[in-house]
Amino acid sequence: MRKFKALFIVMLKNTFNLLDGRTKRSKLNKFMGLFLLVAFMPTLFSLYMLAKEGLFMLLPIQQEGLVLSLLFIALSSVTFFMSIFLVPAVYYFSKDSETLLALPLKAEEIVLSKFCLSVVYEYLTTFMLAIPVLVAYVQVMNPDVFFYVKVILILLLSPVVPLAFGAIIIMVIMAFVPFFKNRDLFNYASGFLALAFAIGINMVAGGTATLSQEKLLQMLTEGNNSLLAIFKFMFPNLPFAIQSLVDGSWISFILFLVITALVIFIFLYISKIIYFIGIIGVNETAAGRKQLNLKAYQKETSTKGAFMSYFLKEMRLMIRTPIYLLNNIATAFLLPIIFLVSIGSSIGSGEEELSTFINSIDWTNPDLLLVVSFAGLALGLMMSTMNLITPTALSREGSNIFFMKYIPMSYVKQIQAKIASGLAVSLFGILFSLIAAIILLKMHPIVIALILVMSIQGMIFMNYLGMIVDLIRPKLVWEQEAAAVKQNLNAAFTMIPAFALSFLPFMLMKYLPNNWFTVITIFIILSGINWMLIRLTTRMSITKLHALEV
Amino acid sequence: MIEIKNISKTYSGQVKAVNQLSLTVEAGEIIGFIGPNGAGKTTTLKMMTGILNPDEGEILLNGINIQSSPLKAKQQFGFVPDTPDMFLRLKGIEYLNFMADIYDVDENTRRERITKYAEAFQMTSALNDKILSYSHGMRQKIVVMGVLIHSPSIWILDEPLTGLDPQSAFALKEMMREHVALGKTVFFSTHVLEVAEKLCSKVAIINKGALLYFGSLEQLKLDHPNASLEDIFLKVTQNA
Repeated sequence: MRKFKALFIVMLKNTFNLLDGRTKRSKLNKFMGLFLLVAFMPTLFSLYMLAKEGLFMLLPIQQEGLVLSLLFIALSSVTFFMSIFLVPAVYYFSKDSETLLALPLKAEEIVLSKFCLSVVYEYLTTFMLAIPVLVAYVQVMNPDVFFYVKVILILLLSPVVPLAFGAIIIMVIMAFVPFFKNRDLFNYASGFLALAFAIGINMVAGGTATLSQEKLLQMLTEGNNSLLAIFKFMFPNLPFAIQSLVDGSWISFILFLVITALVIFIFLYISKIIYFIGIIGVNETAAGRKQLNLKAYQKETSTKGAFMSYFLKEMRLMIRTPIYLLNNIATAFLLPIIFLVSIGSSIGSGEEELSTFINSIDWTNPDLLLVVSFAGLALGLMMSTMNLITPTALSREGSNIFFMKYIPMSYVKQIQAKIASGLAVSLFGILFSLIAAIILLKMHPIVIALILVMSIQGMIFMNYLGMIVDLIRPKLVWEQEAAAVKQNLNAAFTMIPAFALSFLPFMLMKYLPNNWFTVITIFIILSGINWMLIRLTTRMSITKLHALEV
Repeated sequence: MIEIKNISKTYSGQVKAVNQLSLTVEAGEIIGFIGPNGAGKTTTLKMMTGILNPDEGEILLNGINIQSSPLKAKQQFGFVPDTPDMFLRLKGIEYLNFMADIYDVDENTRRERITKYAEAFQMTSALNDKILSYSHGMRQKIVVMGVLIHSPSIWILDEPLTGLDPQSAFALKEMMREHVALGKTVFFSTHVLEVAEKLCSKVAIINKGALLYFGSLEQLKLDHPNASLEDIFLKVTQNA
């Protein structure tokens, strides 16, 4: 127990950077935290309102517990889904794995420390989702004081069972399927599985979107539908947790605690047997050691010029690092595919209204000018912000950023090459979306051209803005590549303006004259803004990189 | 030629990593930069290469100031950092070609040099593999090759022999000797006193950010008769 405690504390401090004791950035971080809280407020508020309305609707039929059921099922499912990515990263592929293996530690001590660390990771999502719903519940239901005690304990323990189940599945895979011992292969496989899952969910959601509210309510209240049954089987402690909160039953609460403890016990017992089988040799990489033939050698050693070579280096590293491929590149395909699948499947499943509507659009109608222009701008903004390439361009360098400082290539040129990689992927996403739109929506060539021109403005804006954000606050200290992209707040700082700028023009549309003059004026204004952004990026490339010390 | 004039560097306004350090390395010299862990060796090398900015003082590489003319100065040297874990997902050959492009090496020259150094370091069959699959020593070799490919007049190397097998270490030491024989400069940090003894024309001993000795090893031995090199090193650094 003493070893577990020491290990867990070190892991916790290391993960949350508490060891370096830096105080200089704490003010900035506080500001960032506040900014994010404010930015997420509308989402949290909508969640609160949704829960409140749901409760008012369910109260007359005495089904108010359904809100809590849905909340905890959502929490557990999200945690379980995230564990597919979290467990391999934390348990197997983190940099400390080999160091820990050499220490006189038992498998269950390492696993328990890592398990507790993953539970802490999950608290952010858990509390973000739970607090608005619980506030609504407390307001409407006015429960007794024991409710608060129980709900806090249940929330703190809620990630345990889904994480344990996720970890058991991953541990079995790692121990008995040697294919997945290769980190890159594992990340590719799990990542693409998740993408397929996201597209699948979208198709299912598309299918249920047409259900009437009454039918949906009936489906949920029946309580015996297969989806809920699966969740009940997967998370056996949940029904007791919910029951203890709804009717105040202490027996249910104790049963919840007992089942949770039992799951931890089983999980630790399994980890004792199979964790070491899976982790040994996990970071080994295969190599061919085959000599290049003359043709390949000459191709590989051809002159490309410094800028092109730097750009290619960026692209290669992104494509060959699974986490970057999935987060930075795959998104360029994902949105258009979801778009194609949703609309395509709706048309294919005989929704005549939609295809009649599409066929009835007169693309030459001048009333569509502003809508099309703003849609183009939004497309450019969204395609560029989703790939997160420029907001993480420096962060992805991590501790190797010093390389940028000693080579004889100007900072401006290096930053431009990084931005070029962002622009290339964004442009690819835009073109891919446009092709999807051309196929489905049968757009007029002028409309296509207008969308393309406006989306390029959005693309330039977002990529340069992303680069500026990363120049201001690059995240260079990280243990795994995933942290540079997924646990990097820079993403949020560019996504929020991108969303705002995508929707704002539509809100202002009714105040603007719908003609070519407005479109051209907007185009000129955007060009001016982009020109200023490019200038600012150039200046900041020099000052920020010169001042950066690693 | 390297001229370091009164450079100082303080971290977080408190820890003085390098304090008023000055030394001049003439062309044709191999300098061993020696000191205990945390003495300020890497900080000095980082300032010489433009990775860190000195708080005061200036550094000239072949007469070019690294602070005022950074790009021109960076063309003068090749740098091997202490950790060779860079661009792990590039293939060895891609990394070398990338370096050749950055330093503007023409196609024929780069091909000739890649072949030559790959043979010298026994890396020919590994060039088509990703650096991720390399051992520590092989990563060190590919980074050294990345420097040699553009044939800079000044070599700045941070612990270049760490992790190299005896054959490659021998090859690199030979290359250092050949390089200075052409009237060029090598400046490298090391912990291995025997390497410094056999290879260097002069040594610079640093501790707690201050230069304690700069001169030939012969002179140092004359100053401390009947003492082994290890004893001399311990004595010099302990008295700092």
